[in-house]
Amino acid sequence: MLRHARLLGAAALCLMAGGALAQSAAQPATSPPDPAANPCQRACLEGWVDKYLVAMRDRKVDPALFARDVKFTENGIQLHFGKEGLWHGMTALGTYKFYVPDVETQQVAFLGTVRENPRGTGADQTVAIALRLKIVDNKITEIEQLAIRPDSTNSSRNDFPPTGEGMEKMGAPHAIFTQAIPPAERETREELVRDANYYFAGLQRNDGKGYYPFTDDCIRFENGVDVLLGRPGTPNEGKRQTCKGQFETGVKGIVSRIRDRRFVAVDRERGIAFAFGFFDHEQINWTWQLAELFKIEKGKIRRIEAIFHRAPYGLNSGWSTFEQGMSEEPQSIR
Amino acid sequence: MKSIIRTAVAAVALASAALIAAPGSAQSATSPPDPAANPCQRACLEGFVNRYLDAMAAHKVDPALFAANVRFTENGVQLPFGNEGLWATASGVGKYKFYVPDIETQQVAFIGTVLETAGSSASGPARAPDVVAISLRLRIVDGKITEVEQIANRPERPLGPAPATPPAGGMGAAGANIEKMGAPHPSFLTTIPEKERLSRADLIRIGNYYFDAVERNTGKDYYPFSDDCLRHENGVVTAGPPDAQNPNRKGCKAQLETSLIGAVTTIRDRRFVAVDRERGLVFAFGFFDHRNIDWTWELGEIFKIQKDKITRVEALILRGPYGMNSGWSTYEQTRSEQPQDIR
Repeated sequence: MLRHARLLGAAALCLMAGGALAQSAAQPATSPPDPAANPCQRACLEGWVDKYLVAMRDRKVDPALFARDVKFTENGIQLHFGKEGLWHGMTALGTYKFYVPDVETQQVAFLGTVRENPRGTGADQTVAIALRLKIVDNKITEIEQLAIRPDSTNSSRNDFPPTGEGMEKMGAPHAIFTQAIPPAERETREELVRDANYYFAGLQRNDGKGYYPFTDDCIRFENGVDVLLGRPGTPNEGKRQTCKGQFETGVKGIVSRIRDRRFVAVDRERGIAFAFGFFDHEQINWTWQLAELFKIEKGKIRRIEAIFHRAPYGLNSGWSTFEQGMSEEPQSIR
Repeated sequence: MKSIIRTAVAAVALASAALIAAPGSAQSATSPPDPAANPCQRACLEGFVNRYLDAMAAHKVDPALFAANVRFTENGVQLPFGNEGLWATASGVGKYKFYVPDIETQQVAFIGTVLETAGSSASGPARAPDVVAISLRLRIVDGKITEVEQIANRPERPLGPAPATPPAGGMGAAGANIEKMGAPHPSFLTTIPEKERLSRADLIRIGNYYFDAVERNTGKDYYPFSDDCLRHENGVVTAGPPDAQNPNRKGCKAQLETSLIGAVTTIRDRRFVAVDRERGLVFAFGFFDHRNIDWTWELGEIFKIQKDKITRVEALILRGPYGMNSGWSTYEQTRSEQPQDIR
């Protein structure tokens, strides 16, 4: 009965996503973006991330770069722009960079690292960030970032390194993430959001019998760790569980709700969808605040990369209404 | 320069408090509340707290007690009412009870304890109950609770069977600490002689001097504390006159004159949510930002005020994400350092 309800829910999600994205769906999957309508292309959007990070490091709010009324959140909290959060303590760029440009919506998402020294004393610390920028009329109008600091609770296990450190050890995004999907195989925007959302739908109130569209070689990275790979010194050392196998045999009944699922960037060329969201665990009053991206090939999830930390139970993204913040439906943020 | 800014801020704060508190201040300090206009008196308001805590422990949302559209926040986050936050896990009512009834606004604030039985992990067996400290505000309209605002100070619990540990900040577990205190100090509960009772606006103004003093403290600001003033935070004495057991302790005023200088960069969203003129108490929620360490304390704080001076302070403080909002304020209000009289 419950499963039936969930399937119905999944169908509703598809319908909703289809409705919301009707305009985009009308465009054939292989048609190129219109430069006149979408002035900033892939390299241009990635350049905005680089310019943003340099501005934050230098604490310089250049009116040529930022709209006057730019809205800024860090870790779900709206702050004064230009002098609080990472804008107060960032000292240098980091080495990990994973861009997800969305040419259609003129947004760009990013996972990466920066250095921070908020007290101005002692050694710099490496901070992982997830970022969304919205570009309008050649200026940044919206900034949404998660800053996962070394003292953040970033795992239910104690053998995870601080997130920023773990990400930098990975060096660069896995090569599969950056491979282009052949044009004839590219999914539409709404298909990519739908397929990625199956991950959230599968994990939420999981009973081991849900719909788990993962490839057999699917790998998931969380906070810089290949989490399905057996840790050194354990009986499973070197053996990797499959994404699907973990859903079928483990992680049952763990996550009570996945809400405020905001798909903020879709890269059709590479088959990547990037979402912010919250994983609630009601019985332990525990919420993970996370950014997660999915590489999707032919309707199946092949790679996942997420960064997250613990947040107050039930926290909102800072960009959603209360109803959106509590909803389990995917939102396509345009 | 700081003193000029401080004076200007204080002047604005006074004007602001006087303006927003106009209906209360227009009433003479000695006139009794009008039972017809304010149907719920002290014991009645305190009774709503007791009924609320019992309902939460029983996980029972009785429509006779709660309005249909009751709004609920826990730790600054709005949640669906009745089955989330402490409503999912509360298993009993604790012993410590400090009520601040506000007959004029029909609100009641509270610092106390509840028992919480949480899971040992998301799907693991229940842990032994923990004592959780709470700050609470209820609003009563037409005999029902319409607003519930609470901060729950839990012990830090690991996932798995390991025991809980005190949360960040070094003051121990607030719930266990205040349970040990037993009851509010008697000096909080003394009645102010009628002729000495301050107006609502005056009580808020003086309570707010504490926030003005701590925010960007220079050591040379205005510190209207009595010589015997004592402050508890999370059940621990963090300022008070030296005595035989604590010869090096500093009083409320001396502490600010000699330390905590420049520590708190902003005190925001200062929401004075209950004023008890009879006992000279004001209760505020607020946020202490420490920009240099990316640290925000989210707190509920009670001030006892006698003859223009703060004589005792009791607070529950909890770390929140930097810049956190109360869940009841606009963005502009939450960023503001001005006191708000919540009516």
